[in-house]
Amino acid sequence: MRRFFAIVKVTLLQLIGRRRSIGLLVLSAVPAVILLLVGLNSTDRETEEFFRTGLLFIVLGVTVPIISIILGAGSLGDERSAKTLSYLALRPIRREVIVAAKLVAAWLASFAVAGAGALLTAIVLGYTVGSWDEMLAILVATAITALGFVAATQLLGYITDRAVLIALAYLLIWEGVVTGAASQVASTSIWRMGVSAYAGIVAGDHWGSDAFGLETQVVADLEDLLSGVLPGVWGAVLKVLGLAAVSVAVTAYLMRERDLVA
Amino acid sequence: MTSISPAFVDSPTIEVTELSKWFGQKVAVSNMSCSFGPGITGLLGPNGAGKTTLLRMMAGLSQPSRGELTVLGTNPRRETQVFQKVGLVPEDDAVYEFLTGRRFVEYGAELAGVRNPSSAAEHAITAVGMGEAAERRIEGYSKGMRQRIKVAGALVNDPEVLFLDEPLNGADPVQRVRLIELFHQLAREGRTVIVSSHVLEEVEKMANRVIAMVDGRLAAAGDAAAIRAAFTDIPYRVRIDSDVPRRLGSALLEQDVIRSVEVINDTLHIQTDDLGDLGRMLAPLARDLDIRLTMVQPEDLSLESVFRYLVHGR
Repeated sequence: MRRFFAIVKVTLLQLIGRRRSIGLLVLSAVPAVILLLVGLNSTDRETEEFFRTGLLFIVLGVTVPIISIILGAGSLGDERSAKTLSYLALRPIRREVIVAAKLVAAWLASFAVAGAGALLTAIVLGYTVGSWDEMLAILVATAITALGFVAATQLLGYITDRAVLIALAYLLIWEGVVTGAASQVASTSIWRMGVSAYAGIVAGDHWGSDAFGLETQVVADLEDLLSGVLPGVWGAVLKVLGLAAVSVAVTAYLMRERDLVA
Repeated sequence: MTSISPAFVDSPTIEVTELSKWFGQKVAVSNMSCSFGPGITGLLGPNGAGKTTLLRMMAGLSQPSRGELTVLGTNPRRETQVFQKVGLVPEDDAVYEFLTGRRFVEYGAELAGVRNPSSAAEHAITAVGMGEAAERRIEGYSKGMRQRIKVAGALVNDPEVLFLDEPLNGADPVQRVRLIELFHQLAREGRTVIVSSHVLEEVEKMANRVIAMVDGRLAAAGDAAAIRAAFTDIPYRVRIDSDVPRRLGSALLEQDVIRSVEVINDTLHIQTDDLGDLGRMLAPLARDLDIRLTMVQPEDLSLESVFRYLVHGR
């Protein structure tokens, strides 16, 4: 485990460079600023509705994915571009351990940066609406979404220099357009896993057998974002953990089979 | 071009058998068979000869397209435990710029599973003479300092096999002498040290054995003189300084062992097929003619000459 934590520590330092982290922190704070501006000129209910129908998408569908994509792609991509991968790989460590440690580090970095913005957003929401119940849900959803995108992009970062571009295209086309238009594939959407967890925590008690029957205001607000995906924390957790496991297995396999230095 | 044995050593730590590597249509290494043992072996060849590709395969960074390779009896691509006993100094500037030199080396020790990383790092840093700069971040290091901290990072797990790709790049003359002495010390301790370099003078100073590659193939193996001796179709060039070069030249031309004679700036340059015969004949001849010899020096026993013959065939 000492090797695992050594890799995590150095990767965190590598990912959270001064210039990069400032840029990403600014990005993660954008939804909070928007919410603050809206909240100052709206009723509590309008602010709450705006948060659930619009801002939650900006947090879980835009800022958290972008931050996680950049840091996820960098976890192995930075090593590749700095040509330090040999320093890491030519050690008596299983490839799975290297990749898993890198993934954990990228997830922690993403959660630290995106979570700071999400926390700020939750504080603004609590301050304007007067309810602090949703803070935990927002943070859990951020953690789940971050892990999903880090897992998806770490592999890309290992195999191509254009990982961030490819992942952003995926985010726009698949996550943004396709899964929104076709509810049959909406469950593959990573950011909706985060929304699903959020919904599971916030409205779990209200979600009855007629889940989309607009029984509660929360349900009604989130229906469009979920696009047919059932709410639930554990389902979302299992999905992103599965994605992370596949990502680690495939990346470790490629690390063994492909040349480490081009 | 002549292919020369021995490409193999008695007690190999690394064995390369019919090894090939190609990238698409380009063949980088073709059917290489050789072995490496304790001591310093120079991997020599012009740019594009395939020496870095071979080094990377031996270090486990690159997968052979065909053939077999074992390092300390195991396949480095399959058995990562072998890296407990292997160190690599890559040609690339492969350092974590945001770490201090000490942390960089300690990290290597932690990754290698060394029992006491701090003490191992201190030992390796001292060995490369980086003690004073160890607390500074690598981003502020000169090229030579980066090179030395990479060497420390490769030494920190006390490797039995050390791969060095252009290890003296950027090092100043004092650092070069120190690093070469360090590599000799490692070789004396019974470690296998493989140095890839395009600087012949460096290889000559470091290596007592050379594996020469041309166009991805094994071109020659052995020490420089042994490789040179195998070029039987190319006469040796010898410089002879004397008080009367022209008279000596005329006398030498009558000897069977001499192929040609040339006097340039009062210095005699001859070509001979046999250095031994020349040596046996020259002194008595000079004595008979009452000629004083001031210097007799073979001109093409150096690695540079050998290299020229290997690459250009002349």
